[in-house]
Amino acid sequence: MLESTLAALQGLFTPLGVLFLLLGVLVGLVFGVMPGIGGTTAIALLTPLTFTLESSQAMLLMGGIMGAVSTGGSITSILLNTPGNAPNAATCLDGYPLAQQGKAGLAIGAAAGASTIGGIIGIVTLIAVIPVMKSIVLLFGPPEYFVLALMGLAAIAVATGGRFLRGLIAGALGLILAFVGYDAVGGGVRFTLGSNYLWDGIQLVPALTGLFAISEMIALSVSGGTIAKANAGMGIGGVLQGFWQAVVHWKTTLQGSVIGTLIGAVPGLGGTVAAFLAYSGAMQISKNPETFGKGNIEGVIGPEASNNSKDGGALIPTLSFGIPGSAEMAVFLGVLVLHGMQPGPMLLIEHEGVMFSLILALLVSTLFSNVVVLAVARPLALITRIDVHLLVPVVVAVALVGVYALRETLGDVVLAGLFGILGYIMIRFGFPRITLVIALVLGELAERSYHQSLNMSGGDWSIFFTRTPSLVLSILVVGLLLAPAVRTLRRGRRRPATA
Amino acid sequence: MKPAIHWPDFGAALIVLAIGVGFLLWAQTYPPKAAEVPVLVAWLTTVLALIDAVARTETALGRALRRVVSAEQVIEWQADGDGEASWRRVASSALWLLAYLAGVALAGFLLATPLYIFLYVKLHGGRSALAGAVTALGTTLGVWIVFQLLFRYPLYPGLLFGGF
Repeated sequence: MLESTLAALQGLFTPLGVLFLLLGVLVGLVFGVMPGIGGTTAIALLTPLTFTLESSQAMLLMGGIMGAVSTGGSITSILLNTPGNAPNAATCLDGYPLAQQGKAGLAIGAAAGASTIGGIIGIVTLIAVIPVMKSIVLLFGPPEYFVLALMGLAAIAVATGGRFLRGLIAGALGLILAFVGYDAVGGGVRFTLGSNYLWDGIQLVPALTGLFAISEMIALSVSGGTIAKANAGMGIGGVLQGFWQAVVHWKTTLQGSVIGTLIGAVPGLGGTVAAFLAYSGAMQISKNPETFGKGNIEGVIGPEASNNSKDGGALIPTLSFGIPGSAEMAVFLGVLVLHGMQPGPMLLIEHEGVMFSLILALLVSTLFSNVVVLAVARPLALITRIDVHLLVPVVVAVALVGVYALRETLGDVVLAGLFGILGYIMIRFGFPRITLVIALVLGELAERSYHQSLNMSGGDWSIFFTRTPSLVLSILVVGLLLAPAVRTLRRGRRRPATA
Repeated sequence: MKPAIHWPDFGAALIVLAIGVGFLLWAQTYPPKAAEVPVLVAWLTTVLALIDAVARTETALGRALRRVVSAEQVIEWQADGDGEASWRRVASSALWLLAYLAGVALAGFLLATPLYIFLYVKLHGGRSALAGAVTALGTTLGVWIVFQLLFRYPLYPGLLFGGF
């Protein structure tokens, strides 16, 4: 292992190695910043470029992209409430309010700090668990997937804060939307209104772009002024202070990183689920959960730590036995195969040096992209001072072009616009958008794994509690649901004592 | 004296109720297995919307329900003064978006984008024609360079110019 690491280091510190890594970081940051287009597209776009490269150079390029995309996506989430990628949506919830308060630098710094630490934790975990990961991931069957989906849905109860009922209603509406399209269990299509476009279901990226970016632009268009409402200045000190916050709130950072790594490693769940779970987890352990959604720095740290750690996690099943943890990893599998590497248990043995080039590239790009973000945070934060009547049409246009570019479908553009209006109505009437998103992401998985589990057990519900992994996860779900009540009770007991 | 019903919120609850009931009826048209979970969710939506509607009334039951299901805290940001924003301004902002969508569908991104940005900045934002023109041309040029020139993404040409 040491020899491979040294060889990878030697490969990296050559002019060509540095060039490909930097190119990957640059492309990753650009694709991360552009709303709608994410790492999957970036990897797909640069795959042809790797034809002529050596395997280790290709891995440096790909690792550079993977490490930088999430970082780039956090910038627009914080400054414009526009998630660069779907997993960055959770960062909007507290990052944008901080930007409005004139604390964009603080939020960007915290995002960079959490991303760096999260990325490192994800990569270290990847290195540590690759040898034993196969047996762990194989423990996950449909019952475990169902309980994991339930865990995400249970997060709704936590994430609604005070607007419990309307949060649940938004979650139910999200589930309704998740049922639209091809039915993986029955084999037919449902709720498509006869539209061929809806056969694939509600596309997540246009929906998220609409719910967060477009709806926010409508709100800004109505209110006028600038994004940053506070008169507080935004010095570079805010950025460094923000970076330090990721260390101060180490429990939130660590928890987000662990959630990101674990969820990233489970094929099919993905970074969006991980980020929202990390957000609700951060709220659970925070001393000030009531300030979440109003500009709590922990609400930025949790999801951002998760966002960068998930890449290390997603690589675990991808490299260990060829099961991609996400769409991005599915495209990356193609790159591996293209370079004559067959993902599976033998990959690390047969191509150890190349794999370490990838891991090293991921690590360096995580660090480097965050340094770049820190360096440009101050000029970027000035966006929040621009007159919204100049900003709104620009963001709307760029967001919709980005949405179109992803699949080149006009339907996606229309969908983003409609979700923008829906998002604004939700803001106006106090329906939390976060719960709709969580349900939209998890609905299909929950339904499919529910039917699969019952098929396995012949309709016996005990299957969700008799398998050890699903039992453990079920206990976690109950804990998640009970935690707010327990916290309220504990506070109630403390109050008379302090009064 | 407080009104007996908070109409905007009550109306929103009624719309959700209609969605829930409509979805329930719709879901039942599918085979049992395909309908099982959607029907469950439709019932859930209907019941939650009913509770929400009752909670928006100034009755003893409504007040009791509000205490149980709606606290004062909020989870996500709401635009300053958005609750009081006039519906005329809201409708105008939404119409600008819909107009841009229609423009893209008909004439494509490269024609609709500069036109939308210029008119929005000038008419909705009340800024100078120069600010509108610079923003419109700068954005369109940027979009064209990044998406079409650098990354080779074809921009939608519009139904009038061969799009489908």
